[in-house]
Amino acid sequence: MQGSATEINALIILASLVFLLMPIGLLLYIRSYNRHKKNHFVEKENMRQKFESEILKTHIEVQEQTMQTIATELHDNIGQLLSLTTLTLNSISIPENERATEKIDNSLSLVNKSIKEIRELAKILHGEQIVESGIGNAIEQEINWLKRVGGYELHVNNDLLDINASSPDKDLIILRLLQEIINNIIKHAQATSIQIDTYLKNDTLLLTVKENGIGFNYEEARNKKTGMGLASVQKRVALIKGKIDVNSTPEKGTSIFIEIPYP
Amino acid sequence: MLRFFTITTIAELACLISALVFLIGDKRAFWKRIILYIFLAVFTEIFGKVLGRIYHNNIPIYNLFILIELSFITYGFYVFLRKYIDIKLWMVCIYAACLCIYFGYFLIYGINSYNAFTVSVMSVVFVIYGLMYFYLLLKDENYIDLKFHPAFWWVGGAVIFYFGGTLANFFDSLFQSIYFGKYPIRYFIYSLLNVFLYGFWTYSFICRARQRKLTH
Repeated sequence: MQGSATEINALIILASLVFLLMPIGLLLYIRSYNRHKKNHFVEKENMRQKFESEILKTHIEVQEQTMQTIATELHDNIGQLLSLTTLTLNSISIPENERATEKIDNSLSLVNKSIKEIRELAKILHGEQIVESGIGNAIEQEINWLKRVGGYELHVNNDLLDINASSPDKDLIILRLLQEIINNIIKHAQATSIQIDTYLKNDTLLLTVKENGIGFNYEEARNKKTGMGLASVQKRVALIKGKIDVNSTPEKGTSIFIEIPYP
Repeated sequence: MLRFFTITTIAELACLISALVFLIGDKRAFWKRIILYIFLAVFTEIFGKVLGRIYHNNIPIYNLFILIELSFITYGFYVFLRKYIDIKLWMVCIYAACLCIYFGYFLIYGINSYNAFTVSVMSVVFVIYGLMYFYLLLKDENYIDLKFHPAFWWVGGAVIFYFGGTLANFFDSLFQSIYFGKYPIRYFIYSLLNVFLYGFWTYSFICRARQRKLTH
């Protein structure tokens, strides 16, 4: 009789121990479930990033296409029309009326200037054509345009002119990046001096743009997501797996350092 | 002197020291208050032993601690559950019901009788809160790294302790009658449960200190 009571007690103790282990099992199950949740979360995040990257790529492609169309239109149609106008104006001869001659000369001068400007604009818009001669040349053209705009003391070290490597897809994005940065400086920075350095080191293209403008609070702009230009630059850099570092001090200016694996 | 240092008191003291080390600078009220709660637990345990030796009756102080335990653990679960669900009204009602049981028991049996009934009821309630927390944690869409999530380890320790406590209360007379060496098996079960509880809580304090460091 006592033996059976001991057996029952032993059974109860054993069952109790198993029962005590249940919450531990539960915790282990939750951790394991959570690990699966993490994998799912990471997968979802990757898909989101991929999707965003695809959208951005498409956006850039569409933008590029639009720019090419505008460039072609400007060059082939409006440019031709203006050229024709110049020819027509040239063919008019009114020797007896000095004032008319003067006016026609002025008009001719304006039309010629317009043609020149349109050609330059078409060149800038037609990015693919510019980068065909290499990223170094494309950057040089951009800097030349900036020189013509005037108003800035420029310091340029473009070491990409003589490189042999090229990557057409990246070149176009790098050129657009530089254009976006320069546009931002013109629009917002109120700078008087711009320094641009470009060089290739250990399969990494380095692009540095420094200016002495009014500066801004980088963290604030990033958190508020107000700087569309800055966001666009960051997205483009991310698209070609590059790194960007922005240092800005109010009233002292901004420095942008970009590193891109190249080619 | 050595008699005061049982497995439970050592686990409690270790937990108190770790709470002082990792939580003293915490700005969140719950993590600050837990230091006081563990201090009261250690105090009750040691003072209870002193009273037991001198007056041979330490039940009133343990009965008083049940009220502190009921209040603080309810508060702890409220802090962690409110992130996922608006449960304040329910918790207040359940807390009030537990208080009625607590004081009702003393009206019937007096303060010198250990209020095991309230302990059993609150253990079941805390296990339900704990399981509810785990359910809501799993249901939540956001991913949390549980390895370093203080709330998970705090609730985990509490669930193991109260789950085991419910079982130990259920077979209390049996566990007191069976001896393993010098001590009844009840002593080992409670010691084990306390080691789990304070071990998990100590780890949750470490996670909390880490979390605080990362957010600053």
